[in-house]
Amino acid sequence: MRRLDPKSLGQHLDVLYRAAWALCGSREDAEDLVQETYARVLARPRVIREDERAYLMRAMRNTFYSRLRTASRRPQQAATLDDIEPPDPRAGNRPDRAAEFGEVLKAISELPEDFRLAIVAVDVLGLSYGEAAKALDAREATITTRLYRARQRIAKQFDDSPHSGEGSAAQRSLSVKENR
Amino acid sequence: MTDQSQLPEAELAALADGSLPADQRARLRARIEASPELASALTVQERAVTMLRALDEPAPSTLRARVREMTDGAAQTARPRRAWHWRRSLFVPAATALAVAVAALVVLLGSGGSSAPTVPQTAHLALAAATSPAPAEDPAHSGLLRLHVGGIAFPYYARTAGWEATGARTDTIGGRRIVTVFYMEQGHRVGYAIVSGAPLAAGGGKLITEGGVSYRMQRTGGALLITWRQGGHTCVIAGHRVNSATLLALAAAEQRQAA
Repeated sequence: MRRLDPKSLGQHLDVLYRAAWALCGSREDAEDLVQETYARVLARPRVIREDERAYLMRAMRNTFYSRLRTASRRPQQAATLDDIEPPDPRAGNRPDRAAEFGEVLKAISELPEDFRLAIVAVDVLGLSYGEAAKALDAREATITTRLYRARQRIAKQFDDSPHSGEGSAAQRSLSVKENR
Repeated sequence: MTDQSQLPEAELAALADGSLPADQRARLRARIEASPELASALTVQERAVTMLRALDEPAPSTLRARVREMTDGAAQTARPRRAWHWRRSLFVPAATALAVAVAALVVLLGSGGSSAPTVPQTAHLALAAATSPAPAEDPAHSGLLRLHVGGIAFPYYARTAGWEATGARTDTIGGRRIVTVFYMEQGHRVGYAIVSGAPLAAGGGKLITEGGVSYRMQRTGGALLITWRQGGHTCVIAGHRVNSATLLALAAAEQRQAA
């Protein structure tokens, strides 16, 4: 057990943001979720047993559920154009890439909840199976099975030519990026 | 044809991302060589892993700045505990001086102590995204919106200052409700937050008195913010790329109207 160092939490921001995007399905909701997660975690001193990233995953999952519960109790109101934040200027310089990432993360957000959490914990946040199992209060074997099926769905969704094995535009461009 | 449930799913998942122990890896590889179905399942897993692990979209700079302020603020409030331990060491004068400096920083940043929200946390919310539509003007009270916290209504600036209410959000920190209304004028945006309950501790910055009210003006993470007390509650107005005169005029507008 050790005291959580607030200063070291900033290093997980990028990965936590992507995980939040994959959970919520939108960049704007992801920003809110990450900000609220940090605010909750930093509201008082914490003593943690696990890895910081696993702890943040657990905190973010709890915050995510709490937001869902609050949203379900709130009367639904249509958003106006004024509610939409101006896009991040950096994404504006790379609209193609923003679309690719958004496409993949949106696909994850549409997976069944258990599959989504498993793939976010392991493939987006980079937790080990054991860490993911602890963070998600599940058995390690359950996590690996869910992960297998979640990956299967994502891969199939982006594989628009199964016989040629070429994959979708998003997949092709991600491969190009890797080869650069 | 192998049934889906008969596939060694966990092992295939682990092989695809490199976490399968070496002894199991060799055994599974041998099975895969003999089974096109297993080979195909592994390819699917590997394709997904490649795609997912290539995701490298960074967090937006605005979010990064807000998180940095939160972590810095939390680190500073945690520091006096360490100073207490140092006092028992040989470096008493240095430790005492450090504790005083840290305490001054905590006051400077407006820590409310315990779990109460702080001024920086409230400012983060005032700079965050709206989560609900803006409240309408209150037809019964000209110059005010139909949204209030502890009896304090949010101002309706559109007619007098040209700032349109564009959205709102409600957050809870340490059991205290913080309601924020966002206003825009010619592409500039400010957030006006009211914190329920007792006023928050505030310090530092520049103190300006207007109409008998003390306004505290500070810069934080590239944003300008003004804090003041109204009806026993803390109000915070903050914005990026908004000059101090404009922000002060918006903060003081309500007082002028009340007078």
